[in-house]
Amino acid sequence: MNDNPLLHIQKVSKHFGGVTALHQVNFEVQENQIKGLIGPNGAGKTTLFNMISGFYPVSSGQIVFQGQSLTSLPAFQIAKLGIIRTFQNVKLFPNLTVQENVMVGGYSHSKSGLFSLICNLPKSVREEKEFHSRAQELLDYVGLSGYSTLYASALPFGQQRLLEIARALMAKPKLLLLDEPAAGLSIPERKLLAELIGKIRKLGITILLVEHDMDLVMKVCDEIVVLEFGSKIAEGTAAGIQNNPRVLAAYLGEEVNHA
Amino acid sequence: MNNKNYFSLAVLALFLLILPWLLPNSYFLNIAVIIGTYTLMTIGLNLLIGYAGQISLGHAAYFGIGSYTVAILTTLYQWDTLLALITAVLLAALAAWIIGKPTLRLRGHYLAMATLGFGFIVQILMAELTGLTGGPQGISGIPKLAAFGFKFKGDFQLYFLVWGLVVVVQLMTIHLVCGKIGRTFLAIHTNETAAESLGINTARLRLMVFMISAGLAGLAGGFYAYAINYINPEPFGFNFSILLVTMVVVGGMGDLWGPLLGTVVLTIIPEVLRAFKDFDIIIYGLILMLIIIFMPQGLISLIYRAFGHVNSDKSGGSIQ
Repeated sequence: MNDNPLLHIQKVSKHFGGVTALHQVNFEVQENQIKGLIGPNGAGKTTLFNMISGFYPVSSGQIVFQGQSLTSLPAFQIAKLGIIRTFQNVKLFPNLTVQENVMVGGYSHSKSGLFSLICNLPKSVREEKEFHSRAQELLDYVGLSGYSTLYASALPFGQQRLLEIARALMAKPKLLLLDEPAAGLSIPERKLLAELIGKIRKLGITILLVEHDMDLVMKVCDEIVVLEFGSKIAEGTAAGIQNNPRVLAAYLGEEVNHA
Repeated sequence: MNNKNYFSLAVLALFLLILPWLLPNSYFLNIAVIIGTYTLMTIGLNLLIGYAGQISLGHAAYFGIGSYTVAILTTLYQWDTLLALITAVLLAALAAWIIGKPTLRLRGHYLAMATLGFGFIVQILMAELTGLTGGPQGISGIPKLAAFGFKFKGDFQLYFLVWGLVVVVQLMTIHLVCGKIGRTFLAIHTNETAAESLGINTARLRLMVFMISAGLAGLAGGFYAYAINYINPEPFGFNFSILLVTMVVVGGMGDLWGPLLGTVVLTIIPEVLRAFKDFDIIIYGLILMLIIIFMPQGLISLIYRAFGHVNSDKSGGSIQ
């Protein structure tokens, strides 16, 4: 194990009133790794995502990214550090075009100031052009080339997922959190998604993936963490996880002995 | 999108250049100056309401802060008039920063209440800080604006000054709205969570627009003080704040040209209705109701329909 993980989840717990959603979860994500996070419904996967990305405060424990604690940082600041997420139920900007959706992803990296913008100085004009072409490149990259001028709401669901990924890439993530990216996708779309995730890693981006589609998880992930009822019950490679009796029990239920 | 707006602005500028020669007398020229002054404010207020999605029911306060800054600095301290005007803009924006920092976390009714309260406080201060503001009697003897060796004194000069400012401000607003900030606001409107997840500091953006709109009200206020050379607390009250919001809504909020139209129409209607003597306010109210019922997108939607194009400029109707 590397001593300098990109993301370090340290004894993280989350309580909602009396309910414990996560209990002392520990794991690390190494640089340029694809790490899977799986578990039955209600295991606390999305809760953990919401804490990493700053939408929920951590009840106890610590989340450390590149040596910096994320505790008490607001969501937008965590995103600026390079942790960008997608959402289980796709959150696009339906009143903007496909291309504009991606361009919004670049906002936090824009350098031209208010004065330059309102006076339409060359600096702003140049930046807008750059954003425009970079957004187009990313749309080509995820396979949405022909859709730039459509409104995001006009895209079929599968392509909305791809658009959300393109928008996240525009925000220059170091760590990309994908929350059930395959949900609602057809089988051919899932294949393309698996390829896309592999391609994104080659850009030098680390990925933490929450997913129910086991084929996808087993295929793309280097390592997998399994959660059940808010606790980590296993961690390891795909092969190791598949044969772990606790994991099998969590997914298939305990064996019942009939008399 | 930009080209269409540049064209509209060029047509407007041309029209404004010849308008003074079409007006029969200085009464009309005066009204044109008043409309220009209000337009400076409604453009800013539209940025706040129509794009940033925040309400301000105390905008007359920033107008008042601008007016009183100019009046106090030029009469009590004999400041240079242009410097006083710039200070007026900055002070109004500063006031918005002080108010906005805690209150922009508020939403809906709560923000409306907070800005409403601020409006009342400012008007009371104007009436009570007698040593500085002259109390209810106000401040007289405000000089004319002199800048770059030129003195703006006649109606003609005031007309060209204020509408020149409007054209410049509108040009800047076009760049603001059609560029990354306008786009980002449309995004924040529909999904604030997604915007934050991309690293956008939505609170800071809102505060910035709040300051811009207050600064524009301060500019209008400073101009107003130089135009009439006498101010008292009376015009800077609640009614005026509401009138400004009404102009934006009736014209078409979230549209670049809506507030301009709303300001023109709502300033002219009362003048026309004077012929109806005591019934004017009833008819005025009726007209407002009809506009809101039949044109919820504002009067500007009528113009777009007349020119046969659906408002493809996405800024239109962004609040729904």
